[in-house]
This record gives sequence, C-alpha cells and structure tokens, in this order.
Amino acid sequence: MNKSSTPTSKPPIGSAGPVALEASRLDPDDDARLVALAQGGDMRSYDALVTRHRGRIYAMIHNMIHHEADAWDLAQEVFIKAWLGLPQYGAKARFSTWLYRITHNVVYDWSRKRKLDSAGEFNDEMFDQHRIDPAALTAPGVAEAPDEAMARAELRVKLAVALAKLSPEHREVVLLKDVQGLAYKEIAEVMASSIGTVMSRLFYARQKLQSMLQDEYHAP
Amino acid sequence: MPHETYLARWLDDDLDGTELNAFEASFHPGSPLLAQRQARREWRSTLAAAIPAAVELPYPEFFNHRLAKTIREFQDSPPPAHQPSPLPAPGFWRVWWMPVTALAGMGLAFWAGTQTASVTRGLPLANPPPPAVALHRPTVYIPEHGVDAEWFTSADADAAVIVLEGVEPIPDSLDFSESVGEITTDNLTAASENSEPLEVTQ
Repeated sequence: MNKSSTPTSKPPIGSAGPVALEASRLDPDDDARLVALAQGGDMRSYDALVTRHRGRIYAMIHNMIHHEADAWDLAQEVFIKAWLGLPQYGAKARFSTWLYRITHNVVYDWSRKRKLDSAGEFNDEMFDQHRIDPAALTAPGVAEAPDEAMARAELRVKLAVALAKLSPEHREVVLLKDVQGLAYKEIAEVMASSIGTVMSRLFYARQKLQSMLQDEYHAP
Repeated sequence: MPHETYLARWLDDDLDGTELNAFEASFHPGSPLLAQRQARREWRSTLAAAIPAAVELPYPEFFNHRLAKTIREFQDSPPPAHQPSPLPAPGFWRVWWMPVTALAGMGLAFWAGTQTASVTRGLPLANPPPPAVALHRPTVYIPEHGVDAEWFTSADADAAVIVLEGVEPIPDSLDFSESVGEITTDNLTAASENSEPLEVTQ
C-alpha cells in the first residue's frame, strides 16, 4: 500500500490561477543576494529563489508543451540543473534570464526525446532579413472583433490554440517577448541566437498569429 | 546596429536609457509609426491578459520539498571518479578464447539445468522463500498540514499499512453517486492527471 487519501482541501491540478502581479515583479537585487547565499551552500536561500521563480518557469514550460504533469517535472529538472550550475553562474545575465536559458535547453531536450519536430512549419531563416519591414503591422486588430466583451473571452481561447500551432521557436519567442517581457538581447541569450534572428522569428510568429486569428474572426 | 533594428526595437519599447535618447534625437516618428507602436503595446497587453506570465504550479510545497530531497541526494552521492580500465586491449588469444569459453559455459549450464529439473520436478517446496519485505522505512510526504502518517509493515502478513491521523472526515452530505458518470477514456485520463501525488521512497 503506498497511497493515502486525497486531501479534500487541495485544489485539483490546473485550477491554480495566475500569480498575483505584485508577486511576479521580481527584484534582481534580491535575486543576486539569494544567489550569493545559495552559492555558499545555503539551501534555504535556494528554496526562496525557487519559490520566487517557479511560477514563471512553470508557466513558460506549460505554454510551450501544454502538458501539466510534464511541465511540473521539467520545472523540477530546470531547478535541479540550476542548482548544479550555480557555481558556474557568474551574474553576467540576470538570474531569471539564466533560468530561462536552462528552461530553453530542458524543453528542447525533452522535445527531441519526444520526437516532436516542427514539420510543416517553414523556416523563417531562409528569408533575407533585409526584406523584413520592421514597421510592418504584425499586431492583430483587436478592435475588429464584432463584440468587444465576447471577443476578449474568445481571444484567450483563440490565442492558446493559435500559439499551439506555431513552431516551438516561434512560440517561444512570442512567449518570451510578449508574455514574459524579456528584452531582445535577453531573448537572444536565452535562445542562443542573434538579435536579428529573434526579430525575424518574432515578426513571422506575430504574422502567423495575426493570420490565424483573423481567419477565426472572419469565418462565417 | 542598423537603423532598422533600432526602429524595430523602438516599436517594441525595447530601447531605454542612452539608446532611446539617441534614437529619438535623430528620428522623429510620424503618426503612422506612433500608431504602429500603440498597436503593438495593445497586442502585448492583450497577450499578457490572456496568457499570464506566472502561474502557481500545482502542489507548490511538494515541488520545493521534492526538489530539496533530490538535491540532498545529489550532495550525498558524489559523482564517481572516472577510472581507466585495468584490462589491456584484447589480443588475438583473448578474442579466440572468449567464444570458446562462452560455449562451454552454456553447455555446462544446460547440463546442470537438466540434472536439477530431474530431481525437483513435481515436488512442492518445503520451505518457500519468504516474501520480499521492505527493509527501510519510506518517506511519506503529506501535503496537508496537521496530518500525521504512521507506516507499519508485517513480514508475516506480507503487508504494509499507512495510517493517517488528522484527515478531515468525509461529510455525510457528500453524495458519491453524483460523481459517478459514464466511464470513458477521457474520464480516466482526467482522473489520472488529477490524482494527488504521494511520494513513497525506500
């Protein structure tokens, strides 16, 4: 026998809501202090770091792979690798950016093992970056929705579906820029690519999202 | 950095400090570009409202607990040092002897098997081996505060029991029949995904 009764007060998996915005604003100075203590072997400081960042890392992974249990396990793997790599962390990047970099590697390793490739997605790097108009309209016209209130609720579902249809690279760059709010330079560090590649991917990812969302809205 | 790159970053509010001042000093965006930047801001706020940047993961205390346990296990067992193989590279005689030795071993094992089977076939074992019993006490993780767990095992009964103290009783008003529906694959999948994690290690 190795199971106990399920506590009735616990929420079911998936019911956990968004973390409060105030709690999600993390002070890099606090991170630096906690990292220094954790590098000295202070497990309580690392526990505090985990508590501060687990919500963002889990959300990022979950939005990438859309599987709660696997996202939970991969988040564990991220923080284990971060602990093992703490002696090598030199604060050249923000701790959160470093965590996103580890997350990127963990998710892509997992994807390779699952043999989830992006068949059917075109490779945006085959295009000349000079052909990209940086001022091109890539944001979907939210105001085009026939009914404002209904469109907002629908948009959440549509966005999740549309994001899931993107290639992993396009999905990741949209999540890092438009959801997590990272700077171009930080995204380039996380994805181990140039700023130009980040811009290119972001451009095409937004364009695809716009196309998919407009198709939904204009469907009879 | 090319001007277009700065423009793209400006449209995404990616410039700040010196870069922003230098760019805006040399560039006066017209109303179409300002409208573009506003559209991107609205897009980001729409995305941020629809897809939260941070979500508390399920069972956060258990997450930290399990992480700390794994890290302790890493610390308790240092990685084994690489040891060079003491065996020299296989030569001609070793390559020749290996298949011969393997064949002889297989023949000996086959002969021993036939001899043993002829003695014990059809006879019940007088003293069957005892069932495997856990020798170490497991770690039982209880996610709810105020609940204690006692773990008992009996080699004679070949059983292990976990007794929970402090679990709130199930109210009489709970109607189990309401939760019983048609059993489908989706229901089973959902039930397995919603199961409470319990860690028992030995």
